[in-house]
Amino acid sequence: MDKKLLPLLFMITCLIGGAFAQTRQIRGKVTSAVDGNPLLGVSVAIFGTSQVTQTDGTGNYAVQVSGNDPILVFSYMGYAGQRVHVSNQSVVNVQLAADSETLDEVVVTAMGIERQSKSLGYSASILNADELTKARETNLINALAGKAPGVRISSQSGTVGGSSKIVIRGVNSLDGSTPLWVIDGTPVTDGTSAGGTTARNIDFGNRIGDISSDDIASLTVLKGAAATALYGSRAKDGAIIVTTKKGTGGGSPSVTVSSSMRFDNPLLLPDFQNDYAQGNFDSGIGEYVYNMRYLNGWGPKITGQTVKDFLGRDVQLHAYPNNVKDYFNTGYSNINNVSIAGGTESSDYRLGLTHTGEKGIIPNSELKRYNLSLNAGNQFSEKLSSRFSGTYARIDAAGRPAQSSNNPNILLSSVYSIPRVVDINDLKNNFEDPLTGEQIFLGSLKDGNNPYWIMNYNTNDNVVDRFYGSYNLTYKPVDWITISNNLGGDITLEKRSSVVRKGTASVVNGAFYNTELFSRQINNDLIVTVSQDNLVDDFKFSLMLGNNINDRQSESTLITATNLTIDQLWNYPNAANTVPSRAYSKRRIVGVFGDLGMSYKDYLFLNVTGRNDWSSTLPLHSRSYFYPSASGSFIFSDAFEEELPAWLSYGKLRASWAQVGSDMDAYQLDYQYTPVSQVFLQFHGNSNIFPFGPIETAFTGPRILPNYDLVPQRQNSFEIGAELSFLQNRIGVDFNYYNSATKDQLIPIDVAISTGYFSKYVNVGLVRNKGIEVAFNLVPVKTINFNWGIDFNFSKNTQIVEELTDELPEYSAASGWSGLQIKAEKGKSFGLYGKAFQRDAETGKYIVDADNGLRLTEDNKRLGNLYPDWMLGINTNFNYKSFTVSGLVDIRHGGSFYSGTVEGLRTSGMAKETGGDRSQPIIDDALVDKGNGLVQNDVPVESHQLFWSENYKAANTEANIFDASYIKLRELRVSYALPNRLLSGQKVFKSAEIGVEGRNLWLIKSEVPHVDPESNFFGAGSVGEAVEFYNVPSARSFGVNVRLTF
Amino acid sequence: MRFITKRIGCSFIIGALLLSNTSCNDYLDINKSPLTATEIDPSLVFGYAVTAWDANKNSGDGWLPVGLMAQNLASGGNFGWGRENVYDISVYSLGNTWKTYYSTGGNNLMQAIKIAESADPVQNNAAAQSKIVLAQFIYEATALYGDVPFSEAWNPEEFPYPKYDNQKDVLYGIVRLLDEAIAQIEEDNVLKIKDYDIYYNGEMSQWKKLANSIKFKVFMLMVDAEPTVAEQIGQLLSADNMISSTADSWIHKYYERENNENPKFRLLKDFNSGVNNWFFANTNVLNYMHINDPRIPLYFDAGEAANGEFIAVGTNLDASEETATISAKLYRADAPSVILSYHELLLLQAEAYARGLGVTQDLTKADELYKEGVKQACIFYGASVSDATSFVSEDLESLVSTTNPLNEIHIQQWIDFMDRPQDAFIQWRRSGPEGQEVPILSLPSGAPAGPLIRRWTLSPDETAANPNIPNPQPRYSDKMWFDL
Repeated sequence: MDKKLLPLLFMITCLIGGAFAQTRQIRGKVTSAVDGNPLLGVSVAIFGTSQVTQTDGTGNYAVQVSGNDPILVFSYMGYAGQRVHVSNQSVVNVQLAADSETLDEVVVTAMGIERQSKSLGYSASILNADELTKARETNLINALAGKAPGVRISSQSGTVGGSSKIVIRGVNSLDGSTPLWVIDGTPVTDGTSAGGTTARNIDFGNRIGDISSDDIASLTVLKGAAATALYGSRAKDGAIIVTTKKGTGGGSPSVTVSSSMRFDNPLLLPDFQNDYAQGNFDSGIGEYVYNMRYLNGWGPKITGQTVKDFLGRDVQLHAYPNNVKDYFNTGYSNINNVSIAGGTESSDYRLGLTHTGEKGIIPNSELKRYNLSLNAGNQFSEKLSSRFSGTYARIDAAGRPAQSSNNPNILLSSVYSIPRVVDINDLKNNFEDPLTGEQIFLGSLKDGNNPYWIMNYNTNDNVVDRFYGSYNLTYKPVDWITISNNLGGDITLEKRSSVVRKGTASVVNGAFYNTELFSRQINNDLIVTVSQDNLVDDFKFSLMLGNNINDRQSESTLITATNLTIDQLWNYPNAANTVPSRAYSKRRIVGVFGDLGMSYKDYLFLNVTGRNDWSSTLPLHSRSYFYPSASGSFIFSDAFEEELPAWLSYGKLRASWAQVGSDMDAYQLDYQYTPVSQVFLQFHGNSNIFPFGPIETAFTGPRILPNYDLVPQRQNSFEIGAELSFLQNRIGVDFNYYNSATKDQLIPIDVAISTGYFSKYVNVGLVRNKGIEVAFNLVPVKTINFNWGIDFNFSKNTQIVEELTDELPEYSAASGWSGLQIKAEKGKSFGLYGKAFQRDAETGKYIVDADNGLRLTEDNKRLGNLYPDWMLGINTNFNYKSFTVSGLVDIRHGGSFYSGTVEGLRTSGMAKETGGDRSQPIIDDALVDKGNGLVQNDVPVESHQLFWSENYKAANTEANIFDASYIKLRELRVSYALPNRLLSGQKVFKSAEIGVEGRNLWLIKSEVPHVDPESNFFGAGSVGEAVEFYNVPSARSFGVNVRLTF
Repeated sequence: MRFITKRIGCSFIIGALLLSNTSCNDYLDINKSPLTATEIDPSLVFGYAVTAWDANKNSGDGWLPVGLMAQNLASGGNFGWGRENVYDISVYSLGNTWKTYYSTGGNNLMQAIKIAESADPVQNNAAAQSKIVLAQFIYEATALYGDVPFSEAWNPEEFPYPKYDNQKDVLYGIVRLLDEAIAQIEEDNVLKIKDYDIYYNGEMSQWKKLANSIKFKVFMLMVDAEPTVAEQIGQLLSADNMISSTADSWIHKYYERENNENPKFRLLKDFNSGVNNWFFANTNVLNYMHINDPRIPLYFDAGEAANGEFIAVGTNLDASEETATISAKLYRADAPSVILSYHELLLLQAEAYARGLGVTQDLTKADELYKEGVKQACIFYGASVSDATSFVSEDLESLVSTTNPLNEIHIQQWIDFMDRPQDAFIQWRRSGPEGQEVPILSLPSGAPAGPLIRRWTLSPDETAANPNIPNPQPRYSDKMWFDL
């Protein structure tokens, strides 16, 4: 063994293995009053301290306590909390009653501070381990859908290991909103691929998808600025605090094994016409003519006529209605987790290993993920303790399809354009000439790739190696002072590779692209906490002071290699041309912060925070900025316990106000000349060109004019809310109103291009988000053996761009293809803009061209809101003895959605609605002006092909915009936990549970034809959304889950 | 063990304090990118600007929609490229082309000028080279968009919203800029853009000829609306210091090397397996060409079913297997991009003599220049010298004897610009008053009802961010100052 490793191992051994029992240990078991089963993941906190642990799979826990009469606080999602005075007991067993409220739950808040739920002056949603693993999702983010009001989730595509986007309480900034993820006190990255109109739009997933939900004990969504003020700029869009599972001390080690098996198929595939072959309308003879040049549905009616097919055979035309459906696989995934947890009286550990294996619905696409996690704590002495938590994750994914447009390797575009008369098996068995190895093209022009050629040879893969973890050392010189240092890191290395085989249409000589992405974040928090409960009668005080150092570095290198000599040899010397490019960023923040907390008689709480940051990215004169917050809560049901009616079980009012400051990207202040290898070419995007002839290297001045007179961005927000529960917590309501305004946004705002620049960094704009969140819980039935609970999570957010600059009425935030834009316009929310059809103001009818009957258009019109009017998640749970049935319905109302896939299906004559009787000309129900004002249209369009291909083309943005509302059955699960009586008498299993689960099961209602309205071709980190171009269809999953504890 | 515990505790506290007490400013002073430069040689931005500019001019922004709009290119309707870009200029093309003139191209040239003029010693030649190219940028911009920012452009601190100069002032401004460049040229000074001068390899005498030639071209554009510039035309003709051979022609070369190919070739290569069955011979060109014109088989490839016959099609009508496509030769990887050619200049000079602009009208001289111009054009596009000579001597009518010599010159200018749609679009508009242009164009099939396009509208990026845009904004059909 490497000698250098020995001291390190010794140190780790000392840190996690030593035992210096100076305190008293309390052990016990927590079970459910409903069925007597042990409860996993119950939070067990020692009141008045920051110490907290959790029960293991057998419901057992162990904690170290000091003092004469410590109080243990037990809390668990869906169960009524309990407080127990320990006195001199050493074993405390607790039975928790099912409840729809979580009154005394311990919440992990900013900077890892654990607080009782009732003391919070702001809204926070907590999801525990069971919620996250109920129906396992490969991407953790998807498990949040519909479960927390104000949290909007949309998965980008059905790509295996695909990315998902999360938005909390609306988009705050003109450049988007990205919540901060914090794992065991350490901020971690949620990087993602760019998406949108990039040359190769491939969904490589987002980095939160690296996390295994089996390692998570709880997840707290902090929504408002007050909740996140201590994290500063990075959490202005909310924060998600993840606490990983810990071991339990004092008992024998327990092993938990859980396994899920899942099968996937496409949730929704397009409806195709099955009446017409490929071809073209010949205006000379007025007929639709079969032609192998085209991959479309504009040919003759399929009547069994004999034609040549793509293999040169004489065949009789007939339709293959399932040829697209048969292209897709039944996906398969397997998630296995094994963990061992245990410890001594003064130490604990949990070691977990998760393997996720997934084969996607796209043939040849697969993902393997491994998560090895360790969480180990040690109490060195009464005063000194430590905890290490770390995870190594490796993701190895292959066959991620290219999406979007303007790329001949876009898989779904090739699949959906397979003419209706082509047998998929012919295509599958004939994509490559067995003699020459050349591609067999479907079209006679050889301008579109055979989808099986793309799938088998032109693949996109990525491999991620990542470590994130933290080491916490806590020192308590006296009972009321705690000094804690949390040093954390998140290091990711990702390698992406895309290969294009020689003989591919448009890349005849082959190419490959290798990208290496490195990111590193080091974060250190030094926190001193002073707690005093005895200074003034009935008052408790706590003061926290801290220092934060955060260092983020990212680096990427892309090498494009083209023109290969030997086929499928992906080595640079084998390429006639290689072009490298590189990006680098490093930024730092130093901050000091404080949090003063006061409580009166445990029913009135007030917290005041302040933080000052110094950022490396801001101008020297404005790099220092301070921001405060205040929050309070009042438990009036405790204060007026005697006066209030018995039917009111709990009542709390809360309010908070906060300001958050933030900085900007690195290196935006100098006037810089950047070496470049590319220029822009329409249809290709940024394209490699340098070295060009004698021009070996080229530089360009900045597109964005630097500005040294910038100040930090500010976000002011306030929220008020109430938590009420009635009839012994059978009915619960959590209401919240919030209003946040983000101003002085640090963005490059468009300037007149004639100044020489695209944009200039300025402080500009005010985006306001205000809304309500209502969580309504109901337990209609509650008996000893049967429980039925139903939860409603409703949220309504209204976003308004209140200010831009005087000269700038609108700001282009993101672009799709063919004139589609996402814009911020003063006085409105972000919206979709593009070309609209001209309409008569009175009747609303289209106006068509008198010469050809086609709809007339007008440029740059607002075509719909980007965001929903409201969202509603409905969760329900039925428990009968050991059986549990749960379901989740997710409803979105409002907003708009653009589908490039629908555009392609319609203009190519493949969509069902383009079929039917094409013998009669289409006369649009519209008005026409033939020189004497508008009259009812009587001008026929020359052909159905012209009607659909012209009116519905991509440039006519409005034609492909739809209402984005939907109703989805998101989750359904049936589980059975073996009761204790069945497990007694054997010593192998401590608990056992089996469940059948399904996710994304049914698109109950949608206004969008052919595709899932949730698809999104922008990257998860982009402000852009609600636009798709040939995204991989989202998957419907069915599975089985088994969980055993030994 | 207690001792160890204390030591760990002490080390942790000391370490933490050290971390938190590092000099904050030093720790944060890292905001300098290691991947960019703050000082560079002017040739580096010059090289980028000219490459980005020509790429735009030959791409789906500056070539394809202009060609379909000017109607010297045919889309083939449903048989070919399709109707997508016919008389429908996408906002991206409007914006990308504008950005090339003012930002990615124009601003980098302005930076090259600034760097050259503030260098010690001053690099006058580099500044002059950059100014001459910039003058061409503005010429193209005003010819496409009409009134454009010029006097207040590229100065964001002083003019965040540049005003729009009227076209007449812009054209005079171009001439001033060129005069400034000519005055700045120091032919014997070795300080200049040499290796990265992809046009003349730093030969400043050729740059001077180019500057005069651009001036000549600008005056020829102005002369119908501003007849007084005829005098300057005459002066330039008599000074005889313009492009005087094909070697002087302003050519942007492309190469067969990967990524260095002509963008038109790249479009077909990347999206159509390198085959042109998208763009076809337009009747507006082929029907004006003499049957013996040696450029016909060089410009076009006969349709597969046409038995060698060259058959053209209307701008947006459906082509067929019989229709001639634009030739693979013109869309080859190393096809050069012509910016200002010797033969083009000869035809312009022929026009000046035929019209008597600044010189005495002289049809004999005009005919001589005209025939030499057509001959050189044929040779440039690949005809043999003998074929070219025979064509002009045997098939071209003499300007002296023809009834409308100017019309003949305009036809040859139009034919010459078949593969240069921006120049063709300018030529068509300046060839005669509205309705009498050469050739007479009509609305393409499928185009929205209305008049012919006579300009591009302004870039939406510009109109959204500049309150000084013309009010009302010009429409596609509005004529500009030079277009009578």
